[in-house]
Amino acid sequence: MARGAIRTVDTLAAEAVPGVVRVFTPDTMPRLPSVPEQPDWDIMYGSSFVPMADRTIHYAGQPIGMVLAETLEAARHAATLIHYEFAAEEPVVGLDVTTDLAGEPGHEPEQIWLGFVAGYLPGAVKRGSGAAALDHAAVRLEGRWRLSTNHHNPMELVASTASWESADRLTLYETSQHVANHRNGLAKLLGLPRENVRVVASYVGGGFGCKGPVWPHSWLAALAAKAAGRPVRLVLSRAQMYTAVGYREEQWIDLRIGATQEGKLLGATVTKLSATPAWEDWVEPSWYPFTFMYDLPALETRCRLLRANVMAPTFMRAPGEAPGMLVQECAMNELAAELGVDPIELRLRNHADVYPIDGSQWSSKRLKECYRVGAERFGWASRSPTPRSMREGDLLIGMGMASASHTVYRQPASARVTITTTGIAHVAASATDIGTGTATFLRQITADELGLPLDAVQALIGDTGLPEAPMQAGASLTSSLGSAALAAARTLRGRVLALATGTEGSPLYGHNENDLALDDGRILAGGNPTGQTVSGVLRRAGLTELSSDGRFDPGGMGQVRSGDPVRDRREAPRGMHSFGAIFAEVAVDPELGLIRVRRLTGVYACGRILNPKLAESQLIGGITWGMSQALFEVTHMDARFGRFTNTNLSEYMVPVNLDVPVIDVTFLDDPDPYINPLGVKGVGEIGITGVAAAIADAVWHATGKRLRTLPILPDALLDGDEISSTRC
Amino acid sequence: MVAPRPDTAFAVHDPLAAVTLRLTVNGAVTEVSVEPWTTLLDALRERIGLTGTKKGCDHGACGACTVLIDGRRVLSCLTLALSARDGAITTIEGLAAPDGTLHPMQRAFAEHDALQCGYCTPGQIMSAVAVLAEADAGRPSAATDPAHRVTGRAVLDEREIRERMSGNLCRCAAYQNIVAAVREVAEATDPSRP
Ligand code: FES
Ligand code: FES
Repeated sequence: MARGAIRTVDTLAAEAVPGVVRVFTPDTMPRLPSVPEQPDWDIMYGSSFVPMADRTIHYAGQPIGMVLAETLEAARHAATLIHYEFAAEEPVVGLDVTTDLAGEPGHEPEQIWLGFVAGYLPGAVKRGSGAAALDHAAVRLEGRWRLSTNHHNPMELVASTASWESADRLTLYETSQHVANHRNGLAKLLGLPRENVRVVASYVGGGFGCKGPVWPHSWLAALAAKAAGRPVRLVLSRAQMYTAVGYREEQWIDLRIGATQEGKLLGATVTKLSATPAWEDWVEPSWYPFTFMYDLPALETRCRLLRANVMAPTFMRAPGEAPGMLVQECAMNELAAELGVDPIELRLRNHADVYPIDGSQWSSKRLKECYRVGAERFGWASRSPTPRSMREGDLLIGMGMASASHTVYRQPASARVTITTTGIAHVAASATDIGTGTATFLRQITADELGLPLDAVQALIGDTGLPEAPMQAGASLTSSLGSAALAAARTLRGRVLALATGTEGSPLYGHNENDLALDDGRILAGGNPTGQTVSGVLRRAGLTELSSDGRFDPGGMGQVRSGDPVRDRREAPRGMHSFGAIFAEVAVDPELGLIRVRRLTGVYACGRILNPKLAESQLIGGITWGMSQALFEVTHMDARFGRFTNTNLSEYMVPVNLDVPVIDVTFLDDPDPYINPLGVKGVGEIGITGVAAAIADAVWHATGKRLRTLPILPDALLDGDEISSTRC
Repeated sequence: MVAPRPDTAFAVHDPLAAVTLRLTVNGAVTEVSVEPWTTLLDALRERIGLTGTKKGCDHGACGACTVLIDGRRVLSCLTLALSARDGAITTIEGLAAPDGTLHPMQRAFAEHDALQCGYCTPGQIMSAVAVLAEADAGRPSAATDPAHRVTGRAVLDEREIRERMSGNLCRCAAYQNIVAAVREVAEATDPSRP
């Protein structure tokens, strides 16, 4: 049931199950001392809604009961025995409703809150008059793109284990992308000082956005543990994860875009429609790519939100860019076809030489080379421009391309590096590793700076007891935390050398520090061994270890806090983005409508690549997500009941091994002196961008069909004038 | 001819009654108390404390819970602990040598960066180990040309590996490197190679 109220609850049968410890319902669940405020500048909540606090039902899948038991089996069985009677009402879901829960045709938020990583963005953007510019356009394109609901579905289930060490001290083991955020959130809601809450996430089995914010299951586990006087572990089932930790909302994006006969863009209007829960406005800024990607002189964007019986959506890999780049790049390809211009050529004609948002310079941009190298590696020249003109046996072959881009986000970060007389160094930060290689890059940076072999450096991560690191989000952790670790290691190196050269009686006393180098625990002077070691220097100083803290503070550029995007942007001296170009080849079986992606080639300029192996894996993963967005992923909603119907991994399609072709990833050398001391832009998010547009274009090129409903499923190709009908 | 005796050792009269049984896991016999419907996955993780085997769906859809029983891969979330009592169960914890030397498949996964978050990895590795055994037994897959008679080890080219590994989802999408890792071990252990 997605809307209504609980009329009666009966827990007797559940309580009688052997092994059951406690049964909670909205009537008996302990209350939070304070409720989340949304927005909160210090804490990222997934949702400000507090379930289990009253009997009202706002969405299907809302928690209405919890059983604590000695075994999983007893808990699961007892939960089925809680008897509820409901007063159900007709739910409001779907984007085709005429009036929403508020009885309105939707509303347009003035600003949208994207958590503390991105702050407030204006709900509407106006640059010149997009609508007026369209009047003068020789070529106009108008369309609605329908993008499906998508769920993160990290392989690891979301879970909290709450353990009260004393009446006011909590340890929470959480599947978290940001332990400090979970600590701050839990402390505030439970009315505890922050130092009384410890959050641990030593290993995290993927997140993709859903494990960043604080969601209700965490505080429910903490409240239950307190009431039971025992540690409580709460593991969400796969099905529960579809309504408990956010999702990418279904969205309709209406685009009108116009260009001159020569293909120069003149203006665009973008309107996004999506649904949000009764208690807050959530919308991912899918129009955002239109603001930065091309030289687009006039732009007007709006978003309309419908209040509906849904749980809050949230960030999902490349929020804003993933859907926005899809629509924008599809439009570029459609325009190119309309004008009879090669898709790469059209992009070159509209290349943004300066940062379109404020006219400033880019920190670095090698997009044109991405196009060139990508076209070469892929063999773009072999594409015959006419649709349906390439075949292989019975198969229709299609090729498509798109640009890729992601904003460079920067977050304040701290790290501590310690070196000991055993020759081992530690690098510590509270950051988590969700599969992105946090421990590896921290060790690598530290080892490089201290001249140690990698094996001599250990990383301590995933614990709020360590120096505070930012959220693993926005492809910004490596750049931000890496810069902090670099600063810590650099300071430590300086302190070791200062001890060596500044201590009377030291064999290196009086040496110029600049001549000295660290190599495998030894100190070199002018490149030659001195017989002195780092351990020896520490020992002589009477130390067993020496630590330094490092910090990366991007100032006004990391977090947009004033709510005034113009002012915040002014503080940023440069437009900061990673760029790329992605090329796809598909083969379509005209009888069955089956689409197989045969090749994907991506070329990227993402600043400095710290670890080519890890970076390539991130891109391969991201590109696969883009392919998945294009051809696989959709969470279906049954509008009658307001329920998702495929809340499992057999019916929510994601690519399996055989679905994925060989993915060819190349990084261009992309030195960027502006973004951060490491020169790293981040690689976690750009991979997904553009891919779906390249694939949609390849499908058009193969079949002649322009499909704007994503994912593109076989039935869309077989619909109406069936594609094999024109077969010769 | 005598009909096989029905197996009544654990006939369940009280569905809530816990039963005690012995499981052979990684060569060691362990006594566990489980409910009749406790899955092998939950028995391994919750009762025996072997948390290397992962739960991704509890529905047989993801492969994260793959273990070997008598060398064959099974989904431990779809296997009752009771029904596993006669087999030799191998989990990811039992793959490395007693001195900690990694199994060649584990080493190949690490070398090829065949993982990102690592959550699907135990299941992928157990599957991959079984794939080699299946190929050695000459078992065809859906990708095998039916016209081709398999003698000796079935060919393990990229398509075969992808097909045979397609029961193991990887949301991080490390597939390309998983294929490289499996392929390397397959080549190194191919009995037909000189
Ligand atoms: S947990 Fe067994 S297949 Fe997913
Ligand atoms: S490595 Fe993360 S799911 Fe496979």
